[in-house]
Amino acid sequence: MLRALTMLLASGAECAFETIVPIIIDPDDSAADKTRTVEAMKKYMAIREKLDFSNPNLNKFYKTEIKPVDGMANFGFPLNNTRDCLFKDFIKVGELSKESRALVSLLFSEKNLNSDMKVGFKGNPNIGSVVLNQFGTSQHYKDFANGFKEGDRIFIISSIFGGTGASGFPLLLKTLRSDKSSQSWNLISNAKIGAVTVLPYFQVSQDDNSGVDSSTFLSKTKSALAYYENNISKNGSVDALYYIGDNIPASYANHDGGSEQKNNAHLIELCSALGILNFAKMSDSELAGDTKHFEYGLDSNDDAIHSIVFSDLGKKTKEDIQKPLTQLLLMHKYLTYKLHDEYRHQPWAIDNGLNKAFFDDDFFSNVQAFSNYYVEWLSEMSNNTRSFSPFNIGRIKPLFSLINGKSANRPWTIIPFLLKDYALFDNALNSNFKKWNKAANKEQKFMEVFYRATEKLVQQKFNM
Amino acid sequence: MDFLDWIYSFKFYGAELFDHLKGWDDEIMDYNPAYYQFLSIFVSIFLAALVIFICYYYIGNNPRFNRWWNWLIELVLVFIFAGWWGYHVVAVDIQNGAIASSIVDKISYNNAIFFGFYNAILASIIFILLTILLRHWSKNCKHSPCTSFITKMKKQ
Repeated sequence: MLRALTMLLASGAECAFETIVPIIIDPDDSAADKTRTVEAMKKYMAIREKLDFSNPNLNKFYKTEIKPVDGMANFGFPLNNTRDCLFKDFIKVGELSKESRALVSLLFSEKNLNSDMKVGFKGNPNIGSVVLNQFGTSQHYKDFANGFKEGDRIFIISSIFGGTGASGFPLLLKTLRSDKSSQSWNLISNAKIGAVTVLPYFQVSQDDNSGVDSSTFLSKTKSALAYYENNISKNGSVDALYYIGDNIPASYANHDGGSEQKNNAHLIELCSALGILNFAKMSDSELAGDTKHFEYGLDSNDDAIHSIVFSDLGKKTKEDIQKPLTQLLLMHKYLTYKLHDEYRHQPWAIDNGLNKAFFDDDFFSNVQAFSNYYVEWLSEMSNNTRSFSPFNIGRIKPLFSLINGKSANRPWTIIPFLLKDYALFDNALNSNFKKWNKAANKEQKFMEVFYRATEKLVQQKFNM
Repeated sequence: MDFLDWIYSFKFYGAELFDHLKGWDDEIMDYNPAYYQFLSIFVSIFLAALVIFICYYYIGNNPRFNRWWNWLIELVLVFIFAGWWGYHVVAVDIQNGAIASSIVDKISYNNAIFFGFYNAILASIIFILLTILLRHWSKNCKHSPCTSFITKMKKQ
């Protein structure tokens, strides 16, 4: 979901927060999904570092700042004693009294006790709820708390049917609301907290050697929901709670974790990320009182719809994401298929000093790399179940047939047969934009030109 | 008219042809303003260069035609038109016997060809001057055939 959020923010989707500070709590350092999300966020940060969002700049690509807590490498909240350590060693079963060992044997199976935790808790929240108790006492929590300011908000993302998320969410919430060890404890305990809890939306293939069994997802979900109702919703410890899931699950290979756990992006994750943006927009008064509960629904009468495009999304969602995602994809297509043929000849590049040296430099490499991550993310969603395939991603021409289910306007021009596709794009890039900072650095000019041009094009072609 | 006389004064196309186009009239043994053709010829080639310039830079104004060779094509069009027009004007006069008898024997179709070539060079110079002076407001082609000097100055 963090990956989806990063992509949305890169596209310029409106976020009422100026800064997002992600903290990933996951014992699995080598999880491929986590690794590529962190990589995307780092690229995002490297790109944004060169940009300026003060007036009169209009660019919204990469507008929201993403940054880690000071001292937190790779956005990760390290968990102690989870690597190369079995759970029974973590709880020091050998040192317990006879009575305590008996209690442990009631609460945890032999398999649980002999679990190694380096790839997480493998769908066992009972293990996670013990291991993750270290939150409040860790130095990293203190670092997070020390950086917490008035007006900051917290949003917790978790799955309800796994191990880490299912156990971590209530524990983290309890720590945030009740821990008094930090200087900012009062700010944190009274801060607005939102959360999205993701219900099952995928299943994994049956593997007796794996600790993950998707046949238990629903039962775990039911147990957790009951717990949340009594211990989270009823006591108002969270201000906004978003639920999302899917009854037509995707199918993934069964990997406990590690570098093989690399699931394709899913629409559910994108919609969950919208929960954060929704939470950000809500005022303190709207969040006051009892916990607000939210669910997500498509604007389609077909429950079994398998391939979703923009027109199947609700009006609000369309308003939030259709334009920015389209703009970023247009930019990607130009950078991929036309840039190197054109920048030497076009005024938008020549006038702004965007020459070979600029396009060989790190900034542009980061932009291109992130752009490829973006398209990879879109492709994965379009190949998933249910698929979200709003774009013709691979099509080079005609450029403006890139939105599935939506045809482009054909405005009358004096010479309509000459200005089309990427020529029209260059025409937009070469526009004499008003009121922009011509003294800005090249990176800012580059991004500003592309943002304004793509905005002009989506307005002209799609009335967005 | 002195200016036009001066422009056309490099008489490699033939001194007699120069006299004819300037309006030589045997009846008055002098140049007759009524027969002066340099003005109409020059205006024609200037307008041709200007029209092609405007079509390239401001009407077509296409980001796919802003390469130096696209500009060169336009230049060649100007060259061809002006060359043909110069030749045509003289050739018609030769055909119609509209040249003063004192100089007619010294004017042939070869002179017409050379005059056409001279006219083409002149029109090309006009087109180049228009390019240098007036292309900077073209949205897509202002750096055709080379980076505009205004942009170069701004970068310094």
